[in-house]
Formats: sequence, C-alpha cells, structure tokens
Amino acid sequence: MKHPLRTLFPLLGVCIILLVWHLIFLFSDSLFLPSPFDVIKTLGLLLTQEQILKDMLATLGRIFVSLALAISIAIPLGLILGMYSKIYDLFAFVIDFLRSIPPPTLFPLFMVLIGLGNAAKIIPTALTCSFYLLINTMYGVRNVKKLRIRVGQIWGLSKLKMMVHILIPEAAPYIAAGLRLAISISIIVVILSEMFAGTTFGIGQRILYFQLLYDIPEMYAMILLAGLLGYTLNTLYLALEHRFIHWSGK
Amino acid sequence: MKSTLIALNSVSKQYGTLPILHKITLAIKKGEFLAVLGPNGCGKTTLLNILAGLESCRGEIQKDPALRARMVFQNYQDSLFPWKTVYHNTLFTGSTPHDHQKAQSFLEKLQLLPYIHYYPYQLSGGMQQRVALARAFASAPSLLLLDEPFSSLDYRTSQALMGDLSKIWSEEKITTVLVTHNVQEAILLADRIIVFSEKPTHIIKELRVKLPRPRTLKMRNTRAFKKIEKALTRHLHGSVELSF
Repeated sequence: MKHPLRTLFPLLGVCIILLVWHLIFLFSDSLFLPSPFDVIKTLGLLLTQEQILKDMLATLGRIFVSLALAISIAIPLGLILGMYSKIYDLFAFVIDFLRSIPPPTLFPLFMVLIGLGNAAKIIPTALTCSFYLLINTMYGVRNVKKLRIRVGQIWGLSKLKMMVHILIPEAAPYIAAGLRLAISISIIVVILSEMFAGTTFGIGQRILYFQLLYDIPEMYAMILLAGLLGYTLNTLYLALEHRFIHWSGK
Repeated sequence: MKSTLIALNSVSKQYGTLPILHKITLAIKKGEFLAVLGPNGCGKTTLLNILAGLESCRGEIQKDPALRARMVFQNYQDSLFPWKTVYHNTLFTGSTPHDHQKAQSFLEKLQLLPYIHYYPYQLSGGMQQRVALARAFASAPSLLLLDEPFSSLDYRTSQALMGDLSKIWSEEKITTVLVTHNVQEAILLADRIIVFSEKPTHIIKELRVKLPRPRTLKMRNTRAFKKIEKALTRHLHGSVELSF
C-alpha cells in the first residue's frame, strides 16, 4: 500500500520545478525569463478578463467541433475498413500517405481554399484527428476476438446486431485510445492554426499577440493556460474512459 | 421412438490437402446426450462447427427445420462479453419478457442470481463458465454443443458444474453433443459415446451408456462404469503403448 504522503508527490514535483525555475530567474539577467510566481499572478489576473475567457471559449469550441467532426466521420469509416479488408486494401496507401503529411503544411492550403475563418482551423484539426480515430477503430475491429464473432454467428446475429452487440463494444477500447490521442493532437493543431491563420479570439492568437508586444509574463501565462487546458481535457477524458469503457484490457 | 434432430451422412472435411473428418455417418436423436471422445486435433471441434452450421463439408446433412444450435466453449473468458453484466450476457440479444424470464430461470438454476450485476471479469473461471452455460440454455436451443467446457476448470469446480449441467439436462432434455478428453466425464453425462480415430478421422467405437439417471460420482466405482471406461480407454489408446 502506498504511503499517504505519496499522494502529495505530484504537488512536490511541481514545487521543485517552480523552485528550479525561480532559481534560474534569480541568477539570470534575461528579460525574457520572468519569475514563475509573476507568471502565476499574471495568469490569475488574465483569467478575470473577459477577453481571455473568450479566447478560451473560442479555442475550446474549435477543439470540440473538430473532434465531433472527426468522430462522426472517422469511426464509421474505421468500422467499414475494419470489417471489409478489400476496401482497406483499396485505400491503405492513400490513408498511410495522407496521415504522414504534417498538419501545419495543410494550413496554407486550407487558407487558400476556405479563407481565414473558423473552418480554416477546424478542418485541418478534424482531418488530423480523423486519421488517429480511423486507424484505431479499424485495428479495434480487426482485433475482435474470433470466438466472440463465432458466438455471434452461432446465435445467428445480423450484420447490424453483430456490429452493435460485438464489434463496436469490442473495438471501443481501441477507439477510446484513438480519441485520447486525437484530443491531445487537436489542442496542438487548433492552437497552431490560431497562430498561423490568425483570428480575433483564441489562445494561440493571444500567445502570439503578447509575444509581439513583449508582454513576457502574459505570454508565459497564456502558455501555462494552454498546458492547463490540455491537462484538464486529458484528465477529464481519462476519467470518462475509465468509467464507460471498464472492460479495457480485461 | 425419438426422431432425428440432425444426421450426417458420409460427411468429410479437409483443410487444404489435410483430411480431417473422413466419411462420418452419425444420427443424433432429439433429447439425446452424445459425447465425442478422441485424440487432440482429430476434428472434434470441427464436427461441432459442422453441426452448428459454421463450416461447410462434403457429404449430406439432414436437419430438423427448427434446429437451433448454441455452443459453449472451453475458453469461457473470450466467449463472454466483458462489457455486459452477467445478466445481460445471459440475455444476450433477447428482449422479450419471455427471454427475460428464461434468463432469470437459468441464472437461478446455475446459482448465479447473486452475481447478475457483476461483469464476467469480476468472477472466477468456474462462475464464468456457468454464465456461458446459462446464456446457451436461456436462448432455448434445440441442440446444445459443448466444446470441452470443463477442461479449463479445476477438479472441484468441474465436478460441481457437471452436476448442475446433468440436473438441468434431465429437466430440459435438450439434445446435447459434448466434446471431451475425459472418459469419466463422458460416461457420467452421456447416453451414447462415440470415439474418434486419429486423422483422417472416423468413428472407431460407438457405445451406449445404460447407467441409470440421476448419475452420481459414486457410480465411478461400480462394475458397469469401470467396464465402459475400460472399453473406451482401450479404443482411445489404440496401438499406443505407454511407458514412463
């Protein structure tokens, strides 16, 4: 059994990093390295500003819409590709090639095709996330235990029932792992696209804005905010995954 | 006289160039408990798959039009659905009040009622195999196929489960085909036992078990039991001379 103090270890880790950061700050004369305590204080102040809350909402909105798009396209496609190996063979090269393209290279293309609006941030993000979901869903379906398929066959299940009762639940842990990856990637791509394609509101845009104004503690605070946002989303998702896909690895 | 549920007439099966079953002729009567003994890899599971309609074969198969086969596998862990509770595993795709009633009834007969809200991975191996049996019985099969259902369980658990299976079978009289390596298990449960040869597999011995029911473990010490056991063992060993 873990010692009760072990639960405080992550907090201790944070304190050590802040202390090291502060020591570097004390012995450095760089204008671009603020004290961690200044950054935390600045973050507190920024969070009371309406503009920053709008930035957060804009970024979160783009992340959720991108993920919703990716889920609604990639999971059904992944199920089809997993069930029908001939269709997979037909598109295997195209999928492998497209998913090898680094997402930022798509920004100029989408800016030309669809302008600078939200779509230019959402579509590249949804596309990037789709590949993670597609591949994981497909592998999930392909790795369904043969014996469970045999049970379905003996019980005379239709294709639809086989999918609902066996394939989708069996593939769910793989799909969940894909979604976990997709969430992390979506945060990166949305923030990058906000920096690249420009926008009125968004965390990426705000980081770039503070950097251009040399508001260094504010810039650090926004980076910290992006990190906190990513951590919170991942933690929430992991808790949901644990709750709803309890059979993972069983 | 009981009518035939399914009959195989000169059925053969081969995988590529490897012959498995060779001209098997076998009629299974309604309400009969048939056990199939044979060496590893002789095609016992293939026979079950053919009976379940999962594998094609050469030869002729005559089936009762109302045939409804269900199977219980040796690997209970992979055959159950870990995302469904014990209750929903048993119910599986059933949805009518009658299906619920059946599921409830067999869960009770297999002493699973206290565990209906558990997931299979929270249960012991023996309990999981009980769930697999409950699921098979609850779906009202006319042909129950048992593929070495006790071989992954410890001695005590397998004996207890055999006892429950025997009791339920006596009440329901569902036509059952049991594939096993265990001679005693076959004698305790079956009405008729067939012994398969090595590949290409054919039936080398067919024997009727006339021991009275209900059968008990004590019967293993009776002369009649030992006689059947000796006859079966002789055919199973064939020409192989064992030395240790």
